[in-house]
Amino acid sequence: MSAVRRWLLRFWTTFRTTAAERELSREVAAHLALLEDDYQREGLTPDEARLAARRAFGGVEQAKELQRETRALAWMDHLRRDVSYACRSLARTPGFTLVAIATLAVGIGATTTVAGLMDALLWRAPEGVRDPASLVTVFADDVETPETEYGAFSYGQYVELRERQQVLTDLAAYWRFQVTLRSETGARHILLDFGSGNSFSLLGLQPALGRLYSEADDRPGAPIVGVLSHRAWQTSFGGSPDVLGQMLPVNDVLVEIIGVAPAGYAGLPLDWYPHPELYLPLQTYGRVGNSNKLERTDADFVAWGRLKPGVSQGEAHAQLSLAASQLEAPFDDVYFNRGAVALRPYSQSRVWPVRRAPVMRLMSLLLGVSVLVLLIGCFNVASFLLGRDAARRHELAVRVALGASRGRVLSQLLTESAVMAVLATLGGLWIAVFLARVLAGVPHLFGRVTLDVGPFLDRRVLLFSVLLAIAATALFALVPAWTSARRAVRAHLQTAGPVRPWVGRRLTLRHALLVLQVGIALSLAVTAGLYVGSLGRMLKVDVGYPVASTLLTRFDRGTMPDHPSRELNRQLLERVRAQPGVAHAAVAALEPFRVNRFEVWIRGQTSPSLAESGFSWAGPGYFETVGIPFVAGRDFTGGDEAAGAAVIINTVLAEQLWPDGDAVGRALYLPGISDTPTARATQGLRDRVVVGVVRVDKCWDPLDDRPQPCMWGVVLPRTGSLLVVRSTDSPSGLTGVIRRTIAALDPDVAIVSSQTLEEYLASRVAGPQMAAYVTMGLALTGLFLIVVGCFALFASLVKEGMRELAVRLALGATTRRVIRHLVIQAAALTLAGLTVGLTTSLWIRRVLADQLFADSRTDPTPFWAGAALITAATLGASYLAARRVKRVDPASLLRCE
Amino acid sequence: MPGPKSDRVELLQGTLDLIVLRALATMGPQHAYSLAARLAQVADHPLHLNQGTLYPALVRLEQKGWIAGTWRKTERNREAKYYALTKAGTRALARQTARWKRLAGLVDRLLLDEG
Repeated sequence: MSAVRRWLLRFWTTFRTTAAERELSREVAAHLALLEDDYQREGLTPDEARLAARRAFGGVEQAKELQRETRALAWMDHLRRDVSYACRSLARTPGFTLVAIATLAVGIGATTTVAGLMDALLWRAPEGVRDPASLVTVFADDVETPETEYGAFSYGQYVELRERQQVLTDLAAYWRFQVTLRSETGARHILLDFGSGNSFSLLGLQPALGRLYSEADDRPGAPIVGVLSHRAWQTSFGGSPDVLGQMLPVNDVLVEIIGVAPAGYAGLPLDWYPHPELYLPLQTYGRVGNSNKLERTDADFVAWGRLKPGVSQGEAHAQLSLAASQLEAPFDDVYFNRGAVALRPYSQSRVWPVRRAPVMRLMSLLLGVSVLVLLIGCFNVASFLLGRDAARRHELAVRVALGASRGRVLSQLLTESAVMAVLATLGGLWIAVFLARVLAGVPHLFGRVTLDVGPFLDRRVLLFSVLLAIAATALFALVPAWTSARRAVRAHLQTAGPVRPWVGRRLTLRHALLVLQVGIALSLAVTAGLYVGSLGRMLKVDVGYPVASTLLTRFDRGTMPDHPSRELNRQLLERVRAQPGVAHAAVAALEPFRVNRFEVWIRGQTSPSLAESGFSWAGPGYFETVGIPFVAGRDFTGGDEAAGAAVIINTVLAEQLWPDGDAVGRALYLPGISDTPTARATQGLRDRVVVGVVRVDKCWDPLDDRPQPCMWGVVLPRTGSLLVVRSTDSPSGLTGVIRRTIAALDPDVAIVSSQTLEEYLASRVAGPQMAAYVTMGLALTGLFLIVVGCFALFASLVKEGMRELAVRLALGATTRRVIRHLVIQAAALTLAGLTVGLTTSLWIRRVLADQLFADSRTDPTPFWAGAALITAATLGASYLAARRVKRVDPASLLRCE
Repeated sequence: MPGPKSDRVELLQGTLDLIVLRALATMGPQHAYSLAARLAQVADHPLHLNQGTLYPALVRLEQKGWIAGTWRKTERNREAKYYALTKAGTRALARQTARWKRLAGLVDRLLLDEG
């Protein structure tokens, strides 16, 4: 008992020193007074008595220290005192402290942001999922085509696989779909996930409100119920609990809201039209969608399941593949999903496995770049600390003289660094949360991946940033602290020390750090420059027709049957063409450069005439609207629509198929075009007749210079839901006009998106764009840190060399010569650093080559531009710092000698 | 400090605590100075006891709850902190004394056997 009591009191006293300290002083003073009285009674004079009492008592401070160590927990007391000492000494130089902390915070913040995003995209399971480690995503793997490894199942295949498998506790499947949500203010396009009834129970999710749908809701004929996503609940319903029981008009049916999904859950994939707003049971598909996918062979369902206890992923893969090879349900002959499965851990398949590698590569690159920024920051702070050593040598020497051991001095200095690191980490986390929020708001951040990462800072990210901070502290603090402590012990109390040769002329660790920093900064600048150059070239690519004046408006006609669609299209085009500012208008199915690719056959031949041709659908007037000229034949007419057999091909395809002459009037067929075996038999094999040839070279990738053969079929009214309008001048005002025209025509038609062709093409280079912007930002940060570091280095060199400079100035040197000397020194260091940086930059360029566009791989601009920028920065900073020489007053300094 | 090192009596851990407890038990409440004087008095050897070395023992005993200190006036009207044995302290003294005697007896026997 007494031991516990004592420990608690010691712990308590560690933090309550004032009272204990007062009590101790009072007691020791009383003790001395009593001793003094006794000596006086023995006949000593009061002065002699005081001295004798002191002598008899012994060292007052030692006694107090002994008592302190006993009354409190010594190590904790030391730590507390070190921390408060560190805070005081940091507060004495607020400028230095702020710059150092900000420098580290930027590095830690950038690195934590990238690591956090990487974790959220590639490894983290959605929040609230029970035991994510045992969840696996099941893809269909085609045994005959090695490249389609991560495909999907048809509904029939899923149901059969679910019955046949024995290694999973259960198998769930989903299909994401776009629907129109109607309300009083107009129709809106939303995404929803149709999921099997066991979706939520298999994940172990708990509702945020109400209940989640279950097997009982997933029966044919059951009432149509839906679960809102947390995000939709917050944004569209203000998070109100009244939402339960509301009937949502989705397409042409009413969906009863029975609950709200938990906050961190946003469906399985992050990279395929993210943010579903509603979750519905699969069996409602036939009533909500426009046709019943459950009865077709469309490979659209990705499945996931939970491994039974004791079953390894390898065993599961073997058993599921065996089951898949025995499926009787017909396989999909367009998207090939025959005979095997591919398994991935659930939390690692939120970005589609095929797309995971590029995302991983990009994020690793950004992580590397941000670590380099942190490294520059660490070197800066190390250099600051080394520079401050000169100013603090006296203070430390006093501490050593008063009995502090080297270990104590070292631990005090390290505590100072640790305090800075803790503050920097807090700042860094704040920066990271801020940056993550900004980045999450950017649509199409990684091409099709948009982030809905929920709470950004989870335990793992926090742990990462703490480890990062510890590593950074070790990097910037250990060497300077060790040097300072060693020097303090050696120097003792020489007030000024001998006039040593000016450190400004010797190469020290700090010079070496600057060289390294310059090298890293050049690598950063080159990386950023390569990306920016590559992006610039991508954006400037000529697609062969004007892109700025063309407006693409995607609308959704819901479940409208064919006939009103035809009428709608006709009236829509008629009204839009009548608007001022509209030069041409047409309807198409897909945006330019979004094409399907099929094999092309010609009747009578035994092998495909062309392995791959782009295929898209366009309405009459499309080519004129986009600005693609005809070289032969004619445009589509209303008559082609009914027959459906006419195609228009590009010159590339014409030359490849019929190099000898006129293509118009020739026939070809596309076996792969239809999505069901029946349709394939009737439509895919029928001949399509070329009615026109257009001159356009690129049709699936504006960045690819290889030949791109392509053809267009005539668009069907039901699928033609892209309005293409070419404006006479600026298309910006047209958006509103088109919106009003569509609303006046049919208020139920929802506008999905509206953008110029230029904007549309730019969104396709979003990944490179983000890489360019982020690396640019980080490189500029690095450059700024170099400026700060270089300035600090030369400023403190001038300060350290004050006395020698004073002698030189007194002997007739001019400040101009001294400044020139320093700037030349900076130039030499920069040159050395650039040499180091050039080597690593060339290596970086080799690594990045496959991510760079065309001749940006060999462009020397980033190298010389980066070098010039860095040189200007270091020379400028060193010049500004060196100008402080003018403040040297020889007379007053030399008087001190 | 005067005298060669060998003359010093190195107090065994816990011995000082026991001496302080014992002194308070026999003499009633005492302040640090009189305890120090008493310590010097009872020692066969002159204890080269720095008077201040008593303080860790006092704070340790106080934190254990075995003694309690109160500020009072001395007979010569000086203020001093008087330490008195608490009930827990009395019990602890009995325990510590018994333990000490056992230990001392053991050491005695060992030394006798060897000699």
